[in-house]
This record gives sequence, structure tokens and C-alpha cells, in this order.
Amino acid sequence: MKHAGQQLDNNVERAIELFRGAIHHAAAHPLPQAPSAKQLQEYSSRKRRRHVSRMVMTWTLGPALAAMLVIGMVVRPRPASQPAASTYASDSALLEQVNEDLSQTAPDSLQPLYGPSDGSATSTTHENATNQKVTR
Amino acid sequence: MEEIAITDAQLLPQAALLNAANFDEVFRLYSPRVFRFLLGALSDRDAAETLTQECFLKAHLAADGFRGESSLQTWLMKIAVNLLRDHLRSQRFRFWRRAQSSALDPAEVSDWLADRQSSPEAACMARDQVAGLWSAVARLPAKQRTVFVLRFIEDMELQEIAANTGMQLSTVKTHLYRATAKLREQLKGGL
Repeated sequence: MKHAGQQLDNNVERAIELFRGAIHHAAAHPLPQAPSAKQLQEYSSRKRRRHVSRMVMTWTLGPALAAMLVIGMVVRPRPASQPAASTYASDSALLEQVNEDLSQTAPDSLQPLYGPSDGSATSTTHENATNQKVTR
Repeated sequence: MEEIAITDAQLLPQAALLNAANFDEVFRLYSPRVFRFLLGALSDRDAAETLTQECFLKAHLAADGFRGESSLQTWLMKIAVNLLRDHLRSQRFRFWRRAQSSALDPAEVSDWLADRQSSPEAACMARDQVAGLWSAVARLPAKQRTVFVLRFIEDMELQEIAANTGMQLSTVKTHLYRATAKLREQLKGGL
């Protein structure tokens, strides 16, 4: 087992050595070209332009955001206050209409055969009779 | 190692970088190491060349910021390490462009490998080993890859790597340990 581990380490070491040699070989042929004077100028002007645009963005966006924040805080919608009197009036009118609709009497054909009071009266009579039997 | 010997006497003063006339000389002296590091970390010749040029362009522009606390080479390597980190970070989010058109082909170095091996079989095996390690290194996280390449491709001491990357020495050791452990694990099946 130890031998296998040592073999693996040797293989890894060898692979690293080959990798290193391969990279050195590949890097040497050919070497990258030095940036030309034109590239240097272009790069520096691009950098400068980017710097300027970043400064412009910072100095315009920053105050704009701050102004929006302040305006947002000032013109923030206030919480709902007491409802107006007209609201009360319309509410009570609606309630009255609902009551009126619900309190309409149904036609005879739709009336129940036995009302809830009849049923409860019957059961109460039955319960009383049972109680009397028990006391006897 | 065909290293260009750079002595302290050859180190150019900071103002030299500003001078366009000296720029070519600075590039000639220091670019091989920067390029090799980037090529080892990226295995992509085009990307390595672009980043090498950008490294020197950045150095040229930021020459005022070079205070001479470290050598010019260390300063340039620091820029290269930062460029590599940014490149890998931006590449992570461009996963649909991951297929590298100019990725270094192990066949490119096959002649060199064949010259060093005694037999064709040995050369073939060596090519497989290099290809396996290449793909394994490419899968390492950016910091581990940086430390690994600086240690094993550039033969830097741990202290030197810490100076070049701006990491603590203990962090360098940790990254190197993890990188080698991962490579060993990944190569276990391949070798």
C-alpha cells in the first residue's frame, strides 16, 4: 500500500516536472510582442476616458439619487385619516338596502312545512314525559 | 531553467517605466516570467499574451504608484496575479464562453516531450501525464492555481509567493497543500 502511494507520488512529481518543462518550452516559442507606442497611447486614453466617465456618473448619479430619496421622504403618502361624512352616509345606505333585501317574506310555496319551533317543542314534551317516568 | 538572470543592477528605476524608450527593455527583461506564469495558469496562449500585454500597460500607466518597496519583478507579478484573478472571476460568469478557442494543445509540446523520452511509448505516456495535469490544474480554484503555478512552474519560495500574491505565508501553505492534494486525487485515476 505504502509502495503504491510512493509510486503515485513519484508519478505526480514526474507529471509536475513534465508539465513545468512543457510550459517553459511553450512559453519560449514565441514570446509575446511588447505593446507598441500606439497601444500604450490608446490604452492610456481609454483608461482616462473610463476614469472621466466614471467620475461623471458618480457626480451625476449620486446627487440624483440623494435628491430622489429626499423628495420621496417629503412627498411620502400620508396614512389614511378619518373617513369623510359622505363615506358614513353611503355605508349606512348600503346596509339598509341589504337589510331590506334579506327581510323580504318568502312566498307560501317556499315556506317550510315545520318550523324550527315546532320540532323543538315536540322534543321538549317527549323529554318531560321521560323525566316524569323516572321520578315515579 | 532558461531564466533570464535579473540582478538588482538591472532593475530599472520607477521613472524608467514612464519612459517609452525603456519600456521595450523592461518588457524584454520581465515579460517571459509573467507570460510563463499566465500561460501555466490559463493554458491559453491568446489569453496569456493579452494579459501579459495588459500587465505591462497597467504597469506603464501606474508607474507613479511604484514606490520601490519591492523589486520591479515582484511588482509586475503582483499586477499579473491580480489580472489573472480578475480574468478568472469574469470567466466564471461567462460560462457559455468557456470553450477556449486557443487553449494550449499538449500536442504543441509533443516534440519537446518526444526529445526527452527514450522510447515512443515513454513519450506517449509523458504526453498523457502532461495532458492530465493540464486539465487538473485548469480545474483548481484561482488562488490554489496561482500558488501552484508560482511554486512549481516559477520555482518560487513560499515567502516569495506570499510577497507576490499579498497572502499570508500560512495561507500560501494551505493553498499549496490543498492544490497538491487535489491534483494527487485527480491524477490517481489518470496515472
